[in-house]
Amino acid sequence: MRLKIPLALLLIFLAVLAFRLYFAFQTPNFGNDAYFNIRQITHITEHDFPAFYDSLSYSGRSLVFLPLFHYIIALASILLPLTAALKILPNLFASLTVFVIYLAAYELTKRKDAAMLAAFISAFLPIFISETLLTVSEYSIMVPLTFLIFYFMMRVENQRLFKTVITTILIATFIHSSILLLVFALLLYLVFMKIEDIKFDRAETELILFSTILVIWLTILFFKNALLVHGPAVVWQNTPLSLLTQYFRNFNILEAIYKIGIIPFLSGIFIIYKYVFKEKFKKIYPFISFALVALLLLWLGLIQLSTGLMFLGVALALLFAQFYVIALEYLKKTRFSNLKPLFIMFLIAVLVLTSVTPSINYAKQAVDNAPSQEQIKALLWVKDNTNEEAVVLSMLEEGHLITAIAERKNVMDKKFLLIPNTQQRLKDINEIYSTSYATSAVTLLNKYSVDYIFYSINALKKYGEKPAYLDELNCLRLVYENTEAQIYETKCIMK
Amino acid sequence: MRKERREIIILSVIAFLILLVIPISRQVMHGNLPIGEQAYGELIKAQNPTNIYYMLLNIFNTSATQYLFAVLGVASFIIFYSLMKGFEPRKRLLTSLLLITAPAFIYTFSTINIHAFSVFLFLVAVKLMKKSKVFAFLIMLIIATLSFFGALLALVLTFIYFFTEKNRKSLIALLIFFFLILLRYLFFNPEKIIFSSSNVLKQMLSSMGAISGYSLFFVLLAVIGFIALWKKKNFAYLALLYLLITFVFFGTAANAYLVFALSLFAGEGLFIILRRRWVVRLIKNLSIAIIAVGIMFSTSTYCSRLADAEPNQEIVKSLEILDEELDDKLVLSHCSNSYWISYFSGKKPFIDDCSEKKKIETAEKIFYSTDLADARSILAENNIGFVWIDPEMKQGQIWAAPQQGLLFLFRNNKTFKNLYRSSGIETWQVLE
Repeated sequence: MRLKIPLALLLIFLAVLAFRLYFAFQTPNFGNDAYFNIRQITHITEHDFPAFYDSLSYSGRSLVFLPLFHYIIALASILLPLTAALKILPNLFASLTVFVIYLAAYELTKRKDAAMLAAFISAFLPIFISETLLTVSEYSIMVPLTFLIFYFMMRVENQRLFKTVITTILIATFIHSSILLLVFALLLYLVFMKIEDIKFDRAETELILFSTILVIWLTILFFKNALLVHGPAVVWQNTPLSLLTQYFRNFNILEAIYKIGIIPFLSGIFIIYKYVFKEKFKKIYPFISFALVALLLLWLGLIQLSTGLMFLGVALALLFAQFYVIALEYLKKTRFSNLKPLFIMFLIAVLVLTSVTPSINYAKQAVDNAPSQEQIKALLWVKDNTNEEAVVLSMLEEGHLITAIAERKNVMDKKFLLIPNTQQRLKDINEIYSTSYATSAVTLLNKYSVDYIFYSINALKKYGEKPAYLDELNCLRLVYENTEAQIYETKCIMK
Repeated sequence: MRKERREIIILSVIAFLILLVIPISRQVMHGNLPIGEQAYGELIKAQNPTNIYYMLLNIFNTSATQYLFAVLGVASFIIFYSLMKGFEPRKRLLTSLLLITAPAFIYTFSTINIHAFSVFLFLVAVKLMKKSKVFAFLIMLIIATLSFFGALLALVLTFIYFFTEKNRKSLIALLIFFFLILLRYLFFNPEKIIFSSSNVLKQMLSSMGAISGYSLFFVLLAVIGFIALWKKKNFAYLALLYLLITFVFFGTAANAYLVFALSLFAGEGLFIILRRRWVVRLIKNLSIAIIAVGIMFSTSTYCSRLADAEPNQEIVKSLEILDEELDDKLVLSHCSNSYWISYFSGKKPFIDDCSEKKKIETAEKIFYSTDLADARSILAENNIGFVWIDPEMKQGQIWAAPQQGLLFLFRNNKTFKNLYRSSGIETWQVLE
C-alpha cells in the first residue's frame, strides 16, 4: 500500500521549514557551539578529511567525534554556498521529522488526523527548535533518523526492510552516539514484551539483538581512546564538575513542560501509565520504552538535559497521537459527542499557544545568543593582525569562535574529552575574568601562555564587572576595541 | 582421538604465540621490562623467598621468567582443555578459543604474577581431584600459602567439592585447616588483603581500560551462557557463588581465575548463538562476523596496549639516577610506584605499599604543601631525600594542576635539585 502525503502535512512541513529558515537567516552568524562543526565541515571541504588532531583547540589536542554528519553537510556545500548549506540543511533535516512522526503515528493509530497533530507537535517542539536552529547540530538529523528506525521496526514483518533498518542504524551510528538511546529503548521494549507476555516476533528479536551488538561495538570502537582515559565516566564527556550540574542537572517537571509543551507532556505521561499498568498494545511499547529510557537517563543525570528533553519531547509528541484517539473515543461515549469539532479546535488552539509561542521565544533567543557582527569583526581583526601561533584567551562559551573565526589557539572550548584537568582550567579562566588581583591573573596568563585576551560584552554580562587590571597593567595593551568586544595584548611575565 | 590431539596441539601453539607476543614486543620496545608494578614487587620478594613460588622465581632471571610464564599459560590451557573432556567438541573448541584470546588470560600469563602460578596449581589440583584426592589437597595447601586470595579460593572450592560429594568429616577437617590459614592472613597480615576498590566496569572491560579484563563480546556471551545454564541450577548456583566472591571482592586479581570459569559460560553462549535456528540468515551471518571481528580486534588492541604498558626505559633511567646517589635517604612518590623505586633505584621508598595509611597521609601533607618551611620540616622529619614523579601523578593521581603544592615549591632551587626531567617524569633531590 502506498501512503500518500496529505497536503496538510506538506503545509506543516513547509511552515516549520519557513519558520526555521526565517529565524536562521535573521543573523549571518551561528550559535557559539556550532563553530566546532563548522570548522570540521570547512576542513573536510578543503582537505577531504575531518581534523582529528586540532592544533588550535586547547592549543593542540586530539579530538573524538563521529564525522558522517560533517561529510553530509560538506557534500551539500558542493551544490550550495557553505553558509547557506550550514543554515538550510540542518533545519531541513529537523523539519523532515514531521514526515517521520506522521508515518510512525499513522502506523500506530491508523488515523490521519491523530498522525497530523503528532507531526505538528514534533515540528514546533520548543526544545527541538532551540537546540537545532543555529547550532549546525547532529541532533537535527539524529532525531528524525531515530524515529525513522522505529518506524521501520514497526513494519519489520516485511523482511525486505531488514537491510534498510540495518543500513539506517549504521548511518545513525556514524553520525552521533545518541543512537545508544535507541538501543537501550529497544532492549527495554523486549523486557516489556516479556513482562506483558506478548508473543515475541523472532525476526524482530534477532534484529534488535543484532542492532544492540552492532551499535555498542561500533561506539566502543570509535570512543576507544576516550573510554581508556575516562572509563565509564565518558558518559559525562569529561565535563568540568562545575558545569556538570548545569548540563546534566536534575530533571525538573515544570521546565520539561515548558520546553516540550504541556499537551504532549501530560498526554504522553497518561499514555505511558495506561499501557504500562492497564492495557497491552505491542506497537506502542517501542515509543514508551524510548520515553522511559530518556526519562530514566535524565533522572540519573546520565544525559544532557537539553538532549534528553529533545528526544523525550519527540517521543511524547508521538504518544500524543494515541492519546488523541483515546480521547475522541471517550468523547464519543459521553453526551458531549457532538462537541468533537469544538474539542479539536480547542486542542489545536492550546497546542499553538503552548508549542508555537515558546518556539518563537526560543528561536528569538537563539538568534540573540549568536555572536554579533561586532564580535565577529573583533575576531577577524585577531585573525588578520596577530601571529599565527598566538594563544587567545576567551570565555569557555567563546572557545570555538577563537579557533573557527580568529583561527588562533584557544585556552579552552566545550570539547572536553581527553583533556586533563578541565575543572582546573575552567576555574583558572573564570579567575582571570573575575579577579581583582593582577598577580594572580598574570600567573594564570603565563600558565597558559596567553598572548591576547578576547573580552566581549558577554564576559561583562557573565562576570558582572570588568577586572581592573586589564586597564591598569602596563604590560597589557588594548589593541582593538569596538562596542561589543575588546582585544588586549599581554606581554606580562611573572617573575 | 587423533582429531582431538591435533586440535589441542594447534590451540596450544596459538595460545603460546599469543602469549609470546607481549614479552617479545616489550623486548623490542622497552628492553626486558615486565609489565606493571606487582611484577617488581614479586621480583623483590623473590630475593628472600618465603614460599615455593618465590623460590622458583629466584632460580630464573627476569627474561627467562617472562617466557616461562607463557609456558605456564599453555600448560594451564592444556589442563583446562583436558578438564572439558565430556563437552560437545564444538563447544570445547569455542570455549578454548575464547579463553586464549581473553585479555585476562593474556595478562595473567604475560607478566610475572603469583596468580598465574596459583591458577596453574589450581587446575592441576582439580585435574587430580578424581585420581588422587590427597595429592590434590596437598596442592590446594600450596595454593593457600601463596596468597590470601588463593587461600580463600581453596577454601571455597573445598567446601563446594565436599558439599557435592557429601563427605562431611573431611569437610570439617579441611574447613578448620583452611580457616586457620585465613586467620593467619586476617590477624597477621590484614593490610595485605587488597580488596577491589575501583569501579567494577573499569576492572571488567578491557575496552574501559581494565589492565586484566574481558572484551565486551566475551562478557555478553558469558551472560548468554550463564542464563542458558541457569536451568542446570546446581552448576549455575555454584558458579554464581564463585563469581560473586571472586569478582566483587577481588577485582583484577580474581580475573586470573575467573577467566577460566567465564570462558565456560562464554563458550556456551557462543555455542547457543551458532546452534540457534535463525529466522533471518543475514542477521545470523552478520552477528557471527561481528562477534569474531570484535573479539579479534579487542585481543589485538589489548596486546598492543599491554606491549606499551609501563614501566618503560624513561622510568628506568629516571630511577637509576638515584642509584648513583650516595645519600641513603628515602624516596617519596605515589604508593603504587614503590616497587619500581625499590627495584630500579636500589633506594627505599617512603611508602612501602598502598596499605600504609599513616605514611600516605604524611605524603599527602608534603604533596599539597604550599609552605616551603613546612614541607622541608616534614621531609627532614621522615628522612626523605628524593622525590620521584610520573605523569600520572600530575594528571589527577596526586595533583590536579601543574603548579599545585609541591610542584610549585620545586621552583626553590635552594631546597630542591632536579636530577632528571623527561616525558613528564621528574626526579628531585631534597637538599640539606
